Amino acid sequence: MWREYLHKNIKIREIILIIIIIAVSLFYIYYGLKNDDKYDNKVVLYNKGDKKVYSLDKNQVIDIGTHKIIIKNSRVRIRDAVCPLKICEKQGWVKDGVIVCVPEKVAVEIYNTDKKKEFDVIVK
Amino acid sequence: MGKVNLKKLLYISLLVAGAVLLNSMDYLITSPFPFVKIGFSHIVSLVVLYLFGRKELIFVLLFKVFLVGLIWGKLFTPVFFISLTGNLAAGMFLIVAYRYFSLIFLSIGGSFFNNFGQSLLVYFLLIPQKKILTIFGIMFLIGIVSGFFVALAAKLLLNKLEKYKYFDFRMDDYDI
Repeated sequence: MWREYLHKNIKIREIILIIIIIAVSLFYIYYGLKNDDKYDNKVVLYNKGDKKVYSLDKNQVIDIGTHKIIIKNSRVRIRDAVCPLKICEKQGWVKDGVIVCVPEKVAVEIYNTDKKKEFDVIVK
Repeated sequence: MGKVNLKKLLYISLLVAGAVLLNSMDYLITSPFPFVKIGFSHIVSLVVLYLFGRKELIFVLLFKVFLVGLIWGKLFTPVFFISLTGNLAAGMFLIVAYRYFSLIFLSIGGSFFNNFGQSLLVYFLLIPQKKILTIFGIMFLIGIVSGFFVALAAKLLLNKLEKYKYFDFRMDDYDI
């Protein structure tokens, strides 16, 4: 009974299935890799569900009670954290990436698109 | 509780045990790579679908997911729910499509719908990060290859099992 399903030739709907799978996977890869230029050179701060956007170019200190977020020279760090392990403090200066504080439900996403700032110093 | 076809129950339990063993083997082999699963246990899913039917396929899939969750201590964790979603999505595709596709394309489509259901669950409920979708896109492409080899293995197993005449069960004498 099952044997007749195996020996049929490839049908059009089977080729369509493969094409749909490849199209969906290419769309997923493209959509995941696409850069969101909405947050170019911005710092996004999530604080217990609230979301605020700050500029990365302006030097400032943001005090949210549990942490102090310092933005200086296109770099970001956290100081004066109240959480016990202080992992967010030990991460130090971050140029591009994410700082997370799990116990206080705080996350800082840094979108640094200026490629020149990847290096600290260039020695010639 | 009506009549139980004991022979059929015995074979389905053996196939569930085989599925659990193959799934555990999958965990062991692919544990260095966090996102890769070959999907050996779907050899058993395809065999059950072709030899027994749709009701038995869902039975085997649910039992496999629960038993693997119990054995590896992952019952009711996010991993368990991801596994459950993937298996049910693949099972639904197999049930709907097995009259229209041959075994190889059925297996490839099942692997795609397994990953697709998981991608919807993970993206909308667990990790709403866009970069996770890139990983799922690569997983769909690898799934075409692994689905093809799973179908070949299932075909070999079906060729062996066809010799035995114990498998001529009908759907309607199974009321437990």
